[in-house]
Amino acid sequence: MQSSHHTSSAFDQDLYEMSEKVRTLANLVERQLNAVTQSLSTLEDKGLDKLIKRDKKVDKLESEIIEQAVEVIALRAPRAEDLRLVLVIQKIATILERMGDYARNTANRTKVILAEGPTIVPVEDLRQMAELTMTMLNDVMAAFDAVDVELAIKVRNGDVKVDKLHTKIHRSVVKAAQNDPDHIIASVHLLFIAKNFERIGDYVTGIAEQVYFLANGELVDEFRPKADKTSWNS
Amino acid sequence: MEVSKLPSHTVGDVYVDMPRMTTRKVNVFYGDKMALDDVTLDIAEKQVTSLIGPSGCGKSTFLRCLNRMNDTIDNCRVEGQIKLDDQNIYDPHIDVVPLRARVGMVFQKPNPFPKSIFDNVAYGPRIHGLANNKNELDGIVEASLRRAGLWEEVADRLYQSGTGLSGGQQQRLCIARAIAVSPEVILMDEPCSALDPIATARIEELIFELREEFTIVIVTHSMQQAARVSNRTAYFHLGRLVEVGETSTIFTNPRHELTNSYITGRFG
Repeated sequence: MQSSHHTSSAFDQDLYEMSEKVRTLANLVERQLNAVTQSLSTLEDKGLDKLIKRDKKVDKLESEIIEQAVEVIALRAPRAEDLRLVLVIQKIATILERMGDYARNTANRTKVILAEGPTIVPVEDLRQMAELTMTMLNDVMAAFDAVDVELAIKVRNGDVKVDKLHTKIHRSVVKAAQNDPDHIIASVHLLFIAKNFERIGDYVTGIAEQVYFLANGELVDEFRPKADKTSWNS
Repeated sequence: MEVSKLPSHTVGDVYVDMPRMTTRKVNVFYGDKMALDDVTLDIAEKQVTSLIGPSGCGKSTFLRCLNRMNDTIDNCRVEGQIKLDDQNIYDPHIDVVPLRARVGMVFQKPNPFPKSIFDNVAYGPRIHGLANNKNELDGIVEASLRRAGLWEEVADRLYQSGTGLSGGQQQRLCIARAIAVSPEVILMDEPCSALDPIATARIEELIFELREEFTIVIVTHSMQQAARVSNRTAYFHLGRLVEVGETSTIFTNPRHELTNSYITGRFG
């Protein structure tokens, strides 16, 4: 991105503030993901209600970013890379907000699983999957900061690992449910939780594509590798 | 510092499939001072081409080359080749009067003649002998005022002075005067810079409609105006044509650093 300043310093300030806010939002979402992973991987409620409540903050921050984007477009008429930056920031904010929703939904489902009592949970795989998505989120935001297309594409391609874990967890949960029909409710929620993390991985690839657009002014047309086989007959 | 950033060749495709005018390796000097340096550009038929760039970049000089308005400046020298269709307009045998009817011009400040509205529009057709009788002349004046979007406002006062109209109306009168002689190309040199936003919007709407019939080249300091009205945009800097391309591309994804700096407001 350009290092030189605009003739209008207030415009610089607007763009700086928006970039800062989207970083704050990404940190907040990462915190949500981390919090739900803590409870899920220990099978203990470690502040799930607090996490669920905190989702309002995610929503509020997203709204603020979108309002500011609308204001900047209306008042500053950004062009070229500035226009792309504003569009990309508001798109990333929307993606992050959706990721936050999945964290909240996972927290709700985790509460049900914990209430169900002892059941077979592929804790290690779920933890691994969750941590993978958090690392991807971290990396993609670093790619956004540095407008590093190479890193963004690497993150995008790395989503196959999440897909593979999803397939693995899906199969093991289905198998466990067949063997232990009494815990079918917990199993169903586990399937949704695994799917949530799979979707979170997809959303991260969406952010990676925004970084590509920011740098190049065009959309990625390269095929994204996928490895989610859960809809195939397992 | 900026000189070193100038590209050795224009970035983007300077050629088009159906050029109405072509310029090749055009240099312009005012005395010893070089105002345009090696400009090659096609002007596409029935499209709006906008010329943008900071003050002194050569965009108005380039515009004025296209109908030899620079001939009126004593120490101005034009080199290179400029063609309208296949005719070299700097050929010594070319008469500039009919040339300027074929390549009309609208200026920054509305400049109606101190005559009636009717006579302003009828002036060109009269001197070029485009009407055989009063009826035909009336028809040309009405059609031109209609095409310029002014007829409804002036139909009942055609014989009042053109200078009594508002600024926006005067500029539309000047456009009616330009199109009355059925030009092929219309050059506009910052046609809205003296107008308020509403009058500007009307002129822009008119430009949008006129491109159905005419080839238009417009110099503007308003980047939003270039973005709104033109198909192609050419960016000039220090006498050089730095970049040219589809307007949507220039405003979303310019290739050259200087274009980007100008478009995004980073020259200070």
